[in-house]
Amino acid sequence: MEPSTEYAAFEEKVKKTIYIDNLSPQVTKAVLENAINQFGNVKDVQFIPTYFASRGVCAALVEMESAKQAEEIICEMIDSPLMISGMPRPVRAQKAQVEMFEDRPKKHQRTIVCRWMDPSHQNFEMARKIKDLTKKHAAEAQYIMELQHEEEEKLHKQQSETLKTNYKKYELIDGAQADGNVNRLKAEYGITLNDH
Amino acid sequence: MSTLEEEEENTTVSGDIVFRWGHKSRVGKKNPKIQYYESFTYDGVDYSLYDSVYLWSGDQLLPDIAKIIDIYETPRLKKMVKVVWYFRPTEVQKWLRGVRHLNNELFLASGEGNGLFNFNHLETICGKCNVVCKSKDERNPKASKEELKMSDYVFYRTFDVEKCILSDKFPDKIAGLDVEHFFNRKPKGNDGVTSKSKSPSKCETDNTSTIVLGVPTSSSDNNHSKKRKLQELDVDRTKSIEADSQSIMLKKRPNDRSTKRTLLELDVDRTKSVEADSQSIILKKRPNNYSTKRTLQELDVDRTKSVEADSQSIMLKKRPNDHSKKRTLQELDVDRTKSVEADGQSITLKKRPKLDTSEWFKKLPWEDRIHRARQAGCLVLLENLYHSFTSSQVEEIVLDAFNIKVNAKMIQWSAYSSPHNGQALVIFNSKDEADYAISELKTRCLIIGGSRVVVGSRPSLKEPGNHYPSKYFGHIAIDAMKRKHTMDMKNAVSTSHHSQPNTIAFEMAMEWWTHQKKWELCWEAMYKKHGEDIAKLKARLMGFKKKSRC
Repeated sequence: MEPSTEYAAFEEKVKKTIYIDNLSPQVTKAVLENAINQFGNVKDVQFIPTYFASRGVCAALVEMESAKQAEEIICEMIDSPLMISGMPRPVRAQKAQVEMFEDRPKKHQRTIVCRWMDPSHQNFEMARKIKDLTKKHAAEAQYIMELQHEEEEKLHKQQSETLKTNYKKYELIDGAQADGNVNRLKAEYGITLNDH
Repeated sequence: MSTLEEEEENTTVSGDIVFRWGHKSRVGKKNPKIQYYESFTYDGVDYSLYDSVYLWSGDQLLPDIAKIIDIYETPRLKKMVKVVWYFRPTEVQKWLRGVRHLNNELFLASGEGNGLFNFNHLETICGKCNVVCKSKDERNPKASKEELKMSDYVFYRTFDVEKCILSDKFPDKIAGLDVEHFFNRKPKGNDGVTSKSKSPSKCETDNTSTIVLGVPTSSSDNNHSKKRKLQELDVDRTKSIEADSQSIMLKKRPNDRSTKRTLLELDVDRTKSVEADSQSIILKKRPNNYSTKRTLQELDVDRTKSVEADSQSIMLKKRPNDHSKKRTLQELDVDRTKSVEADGQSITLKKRPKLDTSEWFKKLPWEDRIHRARQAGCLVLLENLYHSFTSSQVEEIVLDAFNIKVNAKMIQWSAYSSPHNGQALVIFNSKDEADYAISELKTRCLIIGGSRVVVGSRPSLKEPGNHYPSKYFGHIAIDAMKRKHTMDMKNAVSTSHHSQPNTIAFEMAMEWWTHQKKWELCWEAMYKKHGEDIAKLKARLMGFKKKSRC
């Protein structure tokens, strides 16, 4: 195939694909496929591998039948939260980008120029500074990721607590009703209860 | 008619808030007892027709923003304004369906129906709002960068209240008014009339005549129009005024108060100094180096023009082309390096024939190979590549830079990846090779495409295998519940669903959404800052390079 048409076909594919992240690591391809099949026709699911320990999320690329379907699903997932394989954390969807894909054809048939710069070159200092900046940025990104994880952990714990106490409350009420305590108390105090 | 009389007539003081009517305009067509006005002063602020204002009704969180299109007083002395609304994106979230919008963007109401305009009591106005239109519609005078920077909000789209759609197109009329009134104000002509005048002469197209903005000496009710003119001068200031041998002089009346306002509204400190004469204010450049720099920085419109000081005039003329050259170098694309980097040190990569012995044998899946390589010490992480590279291009680069055949894989872009930094994992054939590569990258600098400096390092990866699940927060299960409704829960957990708004799960999902959104903004801001840092350094790199050439 001509490189340009190959790339064009690839771009078409990109338009039909949704990038979903915030997935639980337990989500399998089948689960994800079923989940999205509710909204449209899924043609393919590809998980994006995470190599670095600091990148927590699991993400996947879901290719739909048409670009329109992909857009609609993304809009729906923005409007109302979709939960896959557990609650309550919803997944996040956005349009896929070319760089998200694993194998992609070359965009242009252009040549890449790379050259070595000697330490004696006058711009060397500048180049070194750029390198240092890159490292600094990477460290910053990692730090933010850690902070984000910490907050997520906190939120998770907090929600767990809330849910547990709520549940205990309901259990208490249920329990009281079940073993007749409520009825006895009702009789004793002479209150009428509304049963639903 | 003297101003004093008028002032007494028009001033009403209710409590501590001073109100004063401005220029009268017309009477009502159906009911001549209704008096329309063009402007008024309320609580120390001057408002005029077609200003954008904040309106607040006392029980809202945020004020609404609207444009005044009529100002009038009823026979019962009620002061009213007719306003056309601007929508905040959050107000029309339902119909936005995921369309992106700027942080300070508004949508102008259009169409017919509820929500387009209202008649409000004037007292609900609580301040002026600087709303700039950046629509590319030909009827809209283009706003300068400075105006955009100073604006409170911008808009370039309309929201049709009837059809509930967002659109870039502006209809001819909104609420019965010509759409021109909703666009940015046209720059003033020299006829000292109010905004209803139909012949503004744009300063920038006026090459040959002297631009003199004179204020009529008649003490008419032109107080408000004067101030507005001065405000519009602000607008013109940053336009490219090509007045080669002409002068720009602003003559002012010998009136202390308005002189001060001139000084305020002309934003003096920026690029020009204002000398108040008894009769005139002449704008001239301060004769020192510092202001030259500031001029270059802040004359946003055309950075290649310089301001040369004369005693009487401001001349903007083109500087020699070195500045534009810098920009060219900055925006180098890979292909352009061929013409620019013509020294003998560049290595051009050619297409290579497909003879790779390494591809004759079956390869293990990437995950395994990467982990093996990491254990053997041959794995190297290359950073600062272009995102658009493919894995094979990376392999070619390594081959040409180090003369080593490798296997590489570009790391796929995730939601958290830096847009400035493309990364790739490279598997070398031995630890020594990897060491060599890293040390070479450290001591010398490998530059790709003229501006990207490659950084090499040994990455710290996740532990291999599935027995170390990455931490995932957010899924909660209650065991007791499971015991009770095992059947239902099984089904629920294995599938996916949207949740109904009345459940706890929904509320919690909302909490997760808020968290997510907050962090999204954090990441965005950080990467934006990164981009700026990088651009700064790159600019200096380019600057040096240019120097080395000449």
